[in-house]
Amino acid sequence: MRKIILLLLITTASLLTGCATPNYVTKQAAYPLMYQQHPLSILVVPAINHSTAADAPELYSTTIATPLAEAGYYVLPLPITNMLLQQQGVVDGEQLEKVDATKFQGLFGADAILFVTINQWDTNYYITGGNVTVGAAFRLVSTKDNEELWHYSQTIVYDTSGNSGGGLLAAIISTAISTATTDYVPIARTVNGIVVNTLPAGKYNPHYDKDGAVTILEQKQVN
Amino acid sequence: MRKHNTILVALALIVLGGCAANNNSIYYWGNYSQTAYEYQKSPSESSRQAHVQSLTAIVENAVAQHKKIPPGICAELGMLQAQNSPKLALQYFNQEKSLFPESAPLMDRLINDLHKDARSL
Repeated sequence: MRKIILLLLITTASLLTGCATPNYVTKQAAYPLMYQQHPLSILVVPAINHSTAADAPELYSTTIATPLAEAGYYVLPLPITNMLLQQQGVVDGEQLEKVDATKFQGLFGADAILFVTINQWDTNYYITGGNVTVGAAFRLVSTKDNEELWHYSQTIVYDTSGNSGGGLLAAIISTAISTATTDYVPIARTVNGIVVNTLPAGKYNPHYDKDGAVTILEQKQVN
Repeated sequence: MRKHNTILVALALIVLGGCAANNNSIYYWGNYSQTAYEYQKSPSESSRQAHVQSLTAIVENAVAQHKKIPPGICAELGMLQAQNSPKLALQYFNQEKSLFPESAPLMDRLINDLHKDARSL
């Protein structure tokens, strides 16, 4: 139930922001290289942390494999790749941003590397309530030619005050939230859901190579 | 206000429709996200055991749920078993490889490491 309410809020939020800049583009037009290169196996490197929460990348890492796999990709198992990268002294994706991505084709058999930058992972309190914010930017880079294949970013502000205008909905939300004020993970999952929705489907998804005409909200530049 | 309610109801329907579509998931995930999160957040023998159990349950029950075993589940299980039972680990790494052939470079690397460890004993 809590998930439904959260989704409801997110949907409302994204529809509202959608109205402000209704600029839609097809997946094929936005990410042509995805349809040319057809990456299958994705290496998700440790998230780059620009938030103030030190534990955000580790907690976040448990949320990303599921949506990517359901989108049709082979996600190299994060507990294993994280361990191997750590043995090489890599604990933060930022260390790999300038590294030649083609190395990872041989090392891990990865077709693409996913960089996730966590920009916000915060709780704000104010007199009438508060909110939890999770913001992340995603960038998929080819291990064939170092080209960027896909990018998207999303921020979700989850209001925990529960008295924004009163009414039944507000009451329900405040009840649902009271036990989970600072639980970022469900919000991170929702961010993932919205973002991965813009990713063209991979080989194991029934929409593979059939979703080029699907439109998404255009995003010119990440951060 | 009434207009507001209509919009909310419409949104709720869209959202509920979305939830129903979730049953079309390709893979069976069991309790994966919960036990993976708990093991990551507070690593201990008991959270490790719980995660091993949840991974094992996915491998064992996926077929009954008419879903596939997700990418990485067998590999992760193999990694968690490597210390106690290298034989079992080898079996899981090979299962990952047969489910997802594109995992071969990484799985072969782990299998090699297992053999090296076995020799050094």
